[in-house]
Amino acid sequence: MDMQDEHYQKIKEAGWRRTLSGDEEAALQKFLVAHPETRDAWGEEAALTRLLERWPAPPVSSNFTARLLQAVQSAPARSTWRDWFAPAQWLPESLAGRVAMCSMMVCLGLFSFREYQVVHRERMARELASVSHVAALPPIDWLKNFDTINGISQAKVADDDLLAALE
Amino acid sequence: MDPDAALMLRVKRGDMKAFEELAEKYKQPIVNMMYRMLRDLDEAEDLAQNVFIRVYQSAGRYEVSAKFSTWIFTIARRLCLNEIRRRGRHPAESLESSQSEHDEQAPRQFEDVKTFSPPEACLQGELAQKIEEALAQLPEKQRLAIVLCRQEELSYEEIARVLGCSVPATKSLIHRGRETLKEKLKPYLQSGAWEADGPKLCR
Repeated sequence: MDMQDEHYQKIKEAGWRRTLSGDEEAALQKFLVAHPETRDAWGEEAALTRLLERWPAPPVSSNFTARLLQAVQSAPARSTWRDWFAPAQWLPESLAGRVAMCSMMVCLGLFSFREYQVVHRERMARELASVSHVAALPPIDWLKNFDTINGISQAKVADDDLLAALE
Repeated sequence: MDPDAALMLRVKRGDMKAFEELAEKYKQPIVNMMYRMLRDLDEAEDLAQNVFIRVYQSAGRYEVSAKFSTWIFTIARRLCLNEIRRRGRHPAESLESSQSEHDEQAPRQFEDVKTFSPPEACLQGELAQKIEEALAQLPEKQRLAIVLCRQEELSYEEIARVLGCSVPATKSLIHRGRETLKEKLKPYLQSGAWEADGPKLCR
C-alpha cells in the first residue's frame, strides 16, 4: 500500500464516522482524480454512510429516566459473593494501605503455617514417646501355638462334659 | 478530567442529580445500541435500564481509569451479549417476565408520551426495514462495531476497548460489516432514490 492508498484509507475510515473536513474532502477529490477506478467504490461507501446517518434512532420512552430513578431507589443493594470477595470491598483505598494489608495477611499465613508445624511435631513426638514405653514382644517361637491358644480363649460356651469328667 | 467521569464521581458521593444527568445524556445511545442489537424496543429499554442500574450500583467502586463512555458501553455490551445468549437458550422467555419475579413492590406508573411517526408518513419504511434486516444478519461483533462506529463520543481506540480487541481488528470488523451491508443494500445505494425523500428515514 503506497502513501496515497494509506491516506485514502484514513479518509475512508474518518468518513465512516463523521462528515469529512474541507482538507480531507480536497485530498479525497485529488485521490479520486488520480485513481478514477476507485470512484464507484467511494460512491457506494459515501452512500452507505449517508444512509446510516439518515437511519433514525429508536424513540426512547419519555418516562425512561423517571422509571430508572424509581428502580434505582427501590433496588436492593447489590451484594453478591463476587462483591464480597472483590478486593476493593475490604482493601484500603491507598496503595500503601493495600500493600500493608497484603503483607500483614502473608505474615499471618506464614505464622499460622509455622504454628501448625510446631503443634504437629509435638503431637508426633508424644505418640513416639508413648510407643517407646511398650515392652518388647516375646520371641517368635513363643507364638507358634498362638492361634490355638487364641481359639480356646474365644470359646463362648463352657464344655460341660469336660468339666464333669474333670470333677 | 472527562466531564462524565466527574459526574460519576459525584454519583459515587450519592448525588442523584448527577446520576440523572448521566442517564439523560446516555439513554438514547444505549437504547439505540440495544435496539440495533436486539430489534425489540421494549427489551432494549429494559436492558438499558439494567445498564444504568449497574452503573449506579457500581458507583462505590468507580475509579477514573478510562472515559466514562467507554465504561458504560462496555457494561452495555456485556449485558447485550448475555441477553443474546440467554435468548439462544430460552427463546420464548421475555426479559420482563424473568425480571418481574424479583420485583417485590409494583412500580409506580409513569406516563409514556413517546411519539411515533405515523405510518403513512413513512415513505421509506421499507428501506429502514431492509437496513435492520441486513444489520441483523451480520455476526454479533461486526454489528456491534458498526453500531458503535456511529457513536460520536467514541473514538476508534475506545470502540476497540469496548469490543475487547485491537484497533486494527476493530477497523477490520467495521470494514467487513460495511462490505456486507453494501452488498445487501446495493440496489438502494445505487438508485439513491431515498436521498430525495427528505432528511430522515422513518421506521
